[in-house]
Amino acid sequence: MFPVTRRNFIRRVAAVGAGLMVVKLGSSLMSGMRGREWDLLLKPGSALAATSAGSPTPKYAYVVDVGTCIGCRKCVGACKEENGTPEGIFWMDLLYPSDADYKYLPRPCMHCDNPPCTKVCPVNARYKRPEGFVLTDFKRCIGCRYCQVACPYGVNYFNWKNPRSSQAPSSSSSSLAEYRDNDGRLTAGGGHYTGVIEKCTWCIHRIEKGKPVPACVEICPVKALHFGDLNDPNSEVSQIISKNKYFRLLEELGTEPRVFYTGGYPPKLNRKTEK
Amino acid sequence: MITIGSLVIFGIVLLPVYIAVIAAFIGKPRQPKFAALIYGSALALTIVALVGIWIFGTIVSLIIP
Amino acid sequence: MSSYKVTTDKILQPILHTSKIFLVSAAVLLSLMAVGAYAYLTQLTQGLIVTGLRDWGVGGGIPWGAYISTFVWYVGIAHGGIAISASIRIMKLDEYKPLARMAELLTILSLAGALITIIVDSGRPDRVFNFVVYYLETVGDSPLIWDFTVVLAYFVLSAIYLGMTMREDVIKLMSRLPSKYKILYRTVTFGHKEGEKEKVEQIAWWLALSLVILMALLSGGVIPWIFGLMPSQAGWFGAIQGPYFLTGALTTAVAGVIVVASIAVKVFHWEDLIPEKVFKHLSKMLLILTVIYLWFILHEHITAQYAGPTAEKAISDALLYGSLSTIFLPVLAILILSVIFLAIQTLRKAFSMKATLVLSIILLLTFWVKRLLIVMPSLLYPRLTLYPVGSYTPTWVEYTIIIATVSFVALAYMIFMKIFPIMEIKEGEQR
Repeated sequence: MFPVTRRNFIRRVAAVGAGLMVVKLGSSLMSGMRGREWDLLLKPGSALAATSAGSPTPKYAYVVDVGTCIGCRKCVGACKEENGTPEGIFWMDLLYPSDADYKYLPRPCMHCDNPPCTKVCPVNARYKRPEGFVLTDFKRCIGCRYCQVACPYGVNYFNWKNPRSSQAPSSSSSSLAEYRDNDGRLTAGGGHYTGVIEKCTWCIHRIEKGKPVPACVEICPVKALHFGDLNDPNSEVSQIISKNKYFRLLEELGTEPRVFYTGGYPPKLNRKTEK
Repeated sequence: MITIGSLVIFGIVLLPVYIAVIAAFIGKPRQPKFAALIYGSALALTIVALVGIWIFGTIVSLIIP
Repeated sequence: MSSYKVTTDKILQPILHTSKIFLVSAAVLLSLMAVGAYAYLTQLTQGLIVTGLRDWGVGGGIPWGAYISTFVWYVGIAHGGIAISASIRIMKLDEYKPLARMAELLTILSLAGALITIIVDSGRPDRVFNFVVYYLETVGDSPLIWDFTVVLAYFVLSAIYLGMTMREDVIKLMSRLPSKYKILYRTVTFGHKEGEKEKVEQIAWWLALSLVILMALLSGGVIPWIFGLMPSQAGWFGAIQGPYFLTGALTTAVAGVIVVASIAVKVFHWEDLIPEKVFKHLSKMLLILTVIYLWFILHEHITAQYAGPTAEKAISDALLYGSLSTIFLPVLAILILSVIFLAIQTLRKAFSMKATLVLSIILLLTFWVKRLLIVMPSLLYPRLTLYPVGSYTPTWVEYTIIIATVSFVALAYMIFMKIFPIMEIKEGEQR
């Protein structure tokens, strides 16, 4: 330390400078994580930190009663109309299991708690919000389709061609406009562009504006679909899950999906090879 | 963020690169100026590559509808 | 003294003389690149719908196909350079010295081909720079960003390695090199001092060592991790992808070196500079690597078939006797026949340069198909069997763009040979 010669003065300044740079790099690494789910572990009051009822941040979930679903596909149509999705793209879809004790399986996006899609996105266009929504920033997406291959549920759709010409006419004024969520990030809640991935958003543009449920849940004529806040013990979803047996699709993959299926057993997924 | 990925990439996969750079600077014969020339041009080439990607992206944005 | 002049004459031949073969080849390659550019323009303006790729699942297609396979294929071939250079420097196998720069050039240009291909695959190439902008947010988790990091590092370091080891030769030949490229020669030899050679050797040794390790962690690590870390797709997930991909990479790398070196020897009559026994040894390497690759194919299928989970077995079934067997079984047959041919050639000590060259080209093409057989089946046979089995046929756009990238690599290779000496002159002196 002493005497303060020019050499060790420079050394000290360099050491302090290096230390400051490390701190700055560390903090920008942390702040750069904004929007990703690990941020939830740091922010107080976030969905993952909140385990008790009455928490300020809702923890949304979706319940499907396959015992009640009649396969009318009104949910599929309502989603298309609400979001103005392009031709061949069905954010909400109805599948037909060949080996189950029911005939119809409605399939929105699972909005997983451990989403493989957000992990693999190379530009962080796919992100998870504290309330549970997994959303796509369609201005940032570079169309690499890694989220599409990382997702085991097949809920991602890519705009292979210009969607403008084939978009469904939408009753919702938000379908052709950009939508920014409450954090200011763009989501594919509105606006469809060539070369970009899109998927079910649980109608975040409706939920954030005070509507209680997505379009698919609202239109179901037999009340097979439910949406609500798991942090509220009186919500429909909390009640159904606490009182009924449920399954989630491909649970063993560790994705922690937030879509709960009641009213039946998981579909059998054995595939026989045709010779 | 300390994740499996960043540990493996910056701690294991790129470790040989750090070793090569350090070996160039402190290995005999001691010619740190030459080592700086070589690895300085490596850095310059990296920057040129990244700028090239940016230029390419800008040109494409004029073509893509 | 006269033998020195004869050998330097031979090495300078591509630089000092422009043959008809060069002009015709350049014209053909340029036209193929032009067609590919037109195809890419079509893809930019109309979207990726012009390819055969589609959404998997309800879409009935596969979102990753020919382009991603080509990317993996290129990164594999890129390992030839460092494999040869490392053999020379670290294992002191001096007989490969004449091949060193040819192999390193193949590395750099294959990596360029890989970078081009991956950008072609992107739906929004105008935003590719986002890789850099959001790097700190994504480097922790996205295998594609790990890929970007390590491929860029490998590319830059290989280029520096090539440039650095070239300095001495350019200085020695400066008086005979064409003056129109003077600025390029000055750039490569910037800051050259007498006696720097010892330091160059020292830096090159450590750089070669680091590139060998980096290569194993790239082709046997970061690249296979793009697939192997995904539990979503049966057939992809698993630890075997690391060594499996690495073996495939090294096989295509050796085949690639055989192709460029034997063509160069043929065209410039360099038989005495690169003796046949070098090619004999390379073909032995090729034999061993192909055998190891077949062993990995055995692992893959016995694991799925014995008592594999249904999703894994479905994919193995499709390859062995299902809808994909019409592609997989010929690939398997070619690999086995290659092993038999190379084994006979080695045992009977009857070596044919021509046959080995043709076999190497066939192996390169076969491995391209094999790479596609890694990407395709898992996406065609989704784990969630609620979705139908998909289908995929590449379109003219994909084929022409891929051929255009290969033409670009070949043309860039030829142009480099026209400007810089492709062999060390000191080694060229020795027979």
